[in-house]
Amino acid sequence: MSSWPSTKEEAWRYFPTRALQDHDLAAPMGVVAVDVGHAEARLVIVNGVLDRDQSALPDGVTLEDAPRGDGRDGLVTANLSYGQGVRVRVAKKTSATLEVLYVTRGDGVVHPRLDLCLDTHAELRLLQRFVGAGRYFVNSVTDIHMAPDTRLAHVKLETEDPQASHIDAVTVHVGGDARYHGFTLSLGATRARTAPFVTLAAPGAEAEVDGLYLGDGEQVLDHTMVMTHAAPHTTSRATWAGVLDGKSTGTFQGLIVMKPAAVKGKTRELTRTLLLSDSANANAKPELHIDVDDVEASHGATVGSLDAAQMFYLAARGIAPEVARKMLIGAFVRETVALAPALFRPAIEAALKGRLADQHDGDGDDASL
Amino acid sequence: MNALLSINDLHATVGQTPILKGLTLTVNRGEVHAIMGPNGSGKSTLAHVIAGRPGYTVTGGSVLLDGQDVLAMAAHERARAGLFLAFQYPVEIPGVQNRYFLRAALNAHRKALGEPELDAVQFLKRLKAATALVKMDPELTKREVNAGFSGGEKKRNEILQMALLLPKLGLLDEIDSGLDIDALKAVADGVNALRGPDRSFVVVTHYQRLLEAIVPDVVHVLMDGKIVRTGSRELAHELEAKGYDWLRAA
Repeated sequence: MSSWPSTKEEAWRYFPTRALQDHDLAAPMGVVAVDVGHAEARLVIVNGVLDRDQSALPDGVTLEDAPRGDGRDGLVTANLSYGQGVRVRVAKKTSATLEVLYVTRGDGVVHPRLDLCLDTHAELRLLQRFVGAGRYFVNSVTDIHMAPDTRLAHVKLETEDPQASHIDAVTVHVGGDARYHGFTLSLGATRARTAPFVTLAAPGAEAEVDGLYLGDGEQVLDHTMVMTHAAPHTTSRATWAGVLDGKSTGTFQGLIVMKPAAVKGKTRELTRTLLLSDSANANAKPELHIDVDDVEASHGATVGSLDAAQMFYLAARGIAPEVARKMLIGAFVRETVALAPALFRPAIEAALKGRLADQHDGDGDDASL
Repeated sequence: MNALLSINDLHATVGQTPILKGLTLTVNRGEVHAIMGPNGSGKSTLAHVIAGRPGYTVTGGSVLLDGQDVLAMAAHERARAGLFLAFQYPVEIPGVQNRYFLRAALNAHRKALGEPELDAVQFLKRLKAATALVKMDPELTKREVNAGFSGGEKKRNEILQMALLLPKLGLLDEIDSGLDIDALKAVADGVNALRGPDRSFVVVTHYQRLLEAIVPDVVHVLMDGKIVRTGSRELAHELEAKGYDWLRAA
C-alpha cells in the first residue's frame, strides 16, 4: 500500500498533500482521445499513458517496458504500481533531440513515468512539456540513468491547467565523465512540485540543475533538490530563481551532500527570490552536508522586492510604474533563462510570453548603428 | 511669462528633518542656472524633490514647470512634462538592454504628447543622431543599462538620454562628480550642444571647474535650505576663491 508523504518529512516540509488525498491513487483516469497533431521526434503521453499513434522517435532511440518496483516515497510507489511507464533508450554514440508532451484531461489522477537510459557516449536534448485541462493530479516520475561519457540537456516546462496539481519525482544518475544539465520552469497548476534527486556516481560526473518559478494567486510551487556527490572529482551547480506575486508560496530547498568519497568535489548553489506582494511567501533553504575535506562548496540565498532606486530611475525617464515593474521582473527572469540549454530557450521564452513584457521586440538591424 | 521653472517658498523634509526651508528660484526659458553650495546645504534634495523621488516630503511652497503644478504629478508624469534629472549616481539595471530602455522612455514621452510611437527603424535613426551628438560609442546602447559602465560612460549615457528625450528643463545633479578632465569635457560638450532658446538647465555642483565648461547665465548659492545669494558667473569665481563662510556671516 502506498501512503501519502507528510510535511513532517524534510523533503515534503513545504508541500502539504492534504488537498490531494481525495484522489484514489489506485484508480487512475482512463485514456481520452486527444489529437495533438504529428511532430517528429515527439512522444505523446495522454492521461499518463503513451499514445503510440501520435508518437515518433528519432533514430537511435527506442522504447522498452519500464521496470516496476518500489519508489522513494508513497507517491512514487503508487506511480510504479498503477501507472504504465515507458523506458526510452538512447543507443551508444547516438545524438538526438526528443520532446515528451504530457497532455492530461479530466479531474482524476494520472501516473506518467519516463524512464530514460543513455548508453555510453550518447547525447540527448530532452524537452518535457506538461499541459492539460481540468482539476486533475499528475503524479509523475522521471528516472534518468546516464552511462559514462554521456550528455543530457533536459528542460522541463510545467504549464499545467491553473486548477491542476502536479508532482514530479525526478532521479538522475550521472555516470563517470557524464554531464547533466537540467532546467525546470514552473508556471502552471495550483500546486506543483518538482523534486530532482541527482547522484554524481563516478569520477568526472558533472551536473547543473537550474530552475525558475513564477507564482501568483494562491499557487504553491515547491522545488526540493538533493544533489549527492558520491565519487571523487565531481562538480555540481544549482541556480534557482523565483518571482512570487499574490498570495503564492514558492520554495526552493536544495540539499547538497558530499559523501566521504567525494574528494576534490566542487559545488555552488544559489537561490534568489523576488517578492512582488506582501502576501507572497518565499522559502529559500540551500544546505550543504559535507563529510569530506578538500572540497570547494558555496551557497547563498537572497529574498527581496523590486529595487526602489531602479524604479525611480525608470520613472525619471517617463516610464510608468506598471511598465517599469514589468521591465525589472523581465530582467530578473531573463538572467535565469540565460542559464538554460540554448536549444530550448525559445520554448521557455514562448511559455513565459504573456506573463512578462516582451523585451526583445524590434531592436531592429543592429548592424545599422 | 518667460519663466519656465518657478519655485516659490519650497519647504521639504527627509523623515523628520527639514532640508529645504523656503527656497525660491525662477529659471527663464533658455537660461542655464548653477546652484552651488556646501555639503548638506540641500542641493541634491532640491533636484530630487523637483523630480519626485520617493522619500521626501514637501511641507510647503510650489513648483511650476511651464505653468504646470509639478508637485501634483507622479515622477513619470513630471518626466513626460519635460523635466529631466541627470543622476549623480546613474542606476545600473542588469538584464535590461540600454537600447530597449531608451526606446521605452522615448515612446512613453511621445505617447504623452499624442505622437505615434517610433518603430525600430525610426528609433535607430534617432539613436544614431543622439549618440553622435554626445560622442558616445553606439556599442554602449547594446549593453545592459549602466551595468559595468565606467563613471564617464554612465554620465555620458545620462546625456544621451537627455539628447533623445529633449526635455524643457535639464536638472543636472553633480554631473561632474567622479569624472576626469576628458570625461568632464565630453559631458559638458553634450550639454552645450543641447542648449537653446527652448531649453533651460539647472546645474547643481560643488565645483567651479564644471562652470568653466558649462557657462551659466546665473549662479545661486544654496545654504541651509535657502538661496542666500544670486549673481552672475563671477559669483562662482568668488566662491572658488573665498569659500562659503563669508556668506554665512552675511
